[in-house]
Amino acid sequence: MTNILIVDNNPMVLEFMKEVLAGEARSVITVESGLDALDSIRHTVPDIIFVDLVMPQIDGKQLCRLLRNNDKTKNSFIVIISAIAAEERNFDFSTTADAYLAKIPFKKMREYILKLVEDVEQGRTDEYKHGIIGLDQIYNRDITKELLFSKQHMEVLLSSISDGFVELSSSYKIIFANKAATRLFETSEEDLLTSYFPDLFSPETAESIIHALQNLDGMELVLGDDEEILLREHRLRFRFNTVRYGEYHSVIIILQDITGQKKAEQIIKDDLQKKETLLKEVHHRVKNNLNVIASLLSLQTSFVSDASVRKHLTDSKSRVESMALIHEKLYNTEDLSGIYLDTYLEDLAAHLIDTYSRSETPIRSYLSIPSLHINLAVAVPLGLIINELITNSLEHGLSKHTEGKIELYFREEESQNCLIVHDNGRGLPDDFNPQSSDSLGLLLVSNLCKQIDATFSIKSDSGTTATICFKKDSNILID
Amino acid sequence: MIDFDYSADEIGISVEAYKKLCALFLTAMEEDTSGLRDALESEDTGEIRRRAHHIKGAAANLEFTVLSLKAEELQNAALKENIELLRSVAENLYTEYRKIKTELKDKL
Repeated sequence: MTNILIVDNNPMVLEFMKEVLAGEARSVITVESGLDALDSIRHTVPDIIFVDLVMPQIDGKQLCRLLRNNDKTKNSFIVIISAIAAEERNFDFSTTADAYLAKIPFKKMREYILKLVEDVEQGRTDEYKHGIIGLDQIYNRDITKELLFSKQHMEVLLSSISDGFVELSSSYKIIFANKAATRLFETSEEDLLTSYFPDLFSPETAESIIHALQNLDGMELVLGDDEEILLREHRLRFRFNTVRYGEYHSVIIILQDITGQKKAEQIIKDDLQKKETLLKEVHHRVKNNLNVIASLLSLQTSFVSDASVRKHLTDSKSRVESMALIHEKLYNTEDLSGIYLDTYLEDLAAHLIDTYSRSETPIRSYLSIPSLHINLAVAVPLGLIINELITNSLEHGLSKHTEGKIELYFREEESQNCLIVHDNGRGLPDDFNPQSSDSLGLLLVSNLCKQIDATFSIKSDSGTTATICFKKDSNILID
Repeated sequence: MIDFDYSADEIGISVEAYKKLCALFLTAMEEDTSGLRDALESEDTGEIRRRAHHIKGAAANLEFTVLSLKAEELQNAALKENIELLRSVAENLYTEYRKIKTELKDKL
């Protein structure tokens, strides 16, 4: 009895060959795919195997290689049958097959098949090693050559890429795996092909994979960025895509080894965390040192009896404290690149009122400032500017004033944003000229405004109104 | 007029097997003619050539010589990339196929 296995995805060819070959002394099994062929040889070892070269899923060349390397079929007589024989006339089939038969019209093909099987049964096989049978009855077609070139191009590409690439049948069995995939799974192509893909992973990962496979909707689906997909010591990312052509359907998965990437990300995260901690510590120490300076100035004030000198020391102390407040804000926030203007000015105004107001003249502050995130380079000079303006209001405009109030608000104009400090005090002296003023405070304000590219103006207006404006395109804001 | 005895004898198989192959041929042709119509619609000459080539081979296998020649004509016309010509040649192929289909459906 000769056992014959025929593998072809064309039902007409299968039916024809079965009809031609079946007989009392022969058992013929026909299957439509490489997967079914590999399944079939588990039960019956064929003496002769006919393999179509062009098949979806596992193609003929691949199948021949698998059959040749399989212990059960390594001695079977393998015959390639192909409709692309003319275009593959130079293909050396001898390493994976024993004969190559061109697909020619049934009438002639019948004759060749019967002769070939009879020869194999009689042990006359030498002539089949030397060329393709029926080659003289077919001709080259450009379109087939183009397709074969394209296929070869893809195969070279897939074997060269560093990402793993597998293709799954509709039952999630591997029907193609490139070299990178075999390296990832640390196994041979033969072992990978026909494996049920989810079984290659832990039960939890397998569940995620099956869920993903069942929910593919034609769009690419990525798995492994948030959830951890582990394969031994490798961390993987999967990119799922579906392929459909007529009734054929498969899933391709690109397997990216992201172990190095994730380790690098973690190192960067840890490094950033360390640097942030260090920077916070620096801001903390700067703030403490500035407070030490402020305390020293305060201490020194208590030893001075001259009112003018005391005022200078108190002003300096308040300037140092306005800077210390910025560093305090910084080490208490998550983002070390800047501070929020509203909370900083609220605290600064409250602190200055507390320092300068006298109990008989309670001063209130009203703030309407948006929560703008300003960068550190601007925050320190701006803090000093506001410090001077509020101090001036408290010391001059509102001294001896009952129900004094200071307003800080923000005004958005067409091309600039302005910060306004207004008090309801006595206003500026009649002969006041900001350009010729010898006030250290105003000199500081003027210089600091230049430093941060802002304009400054001051006028009497039911009290005093000071305005600092920034161009909208200046980079004082973060984000 | 399809002569089952003659065709089966030419190929060297039984009439019963020939009829089975004819039934499979009809199934395959439904898919090929549908694919051909889509390819003509999208003016995909490469796909037209592939479908025509497939029809040519399947028809020749079962001794449907006229249909095989019409398919070959279509395959060659596809090389010229003239869609109007392709549509006209394809119509001839459909007509021939409809004749075979009607006859096979009556006799199978």
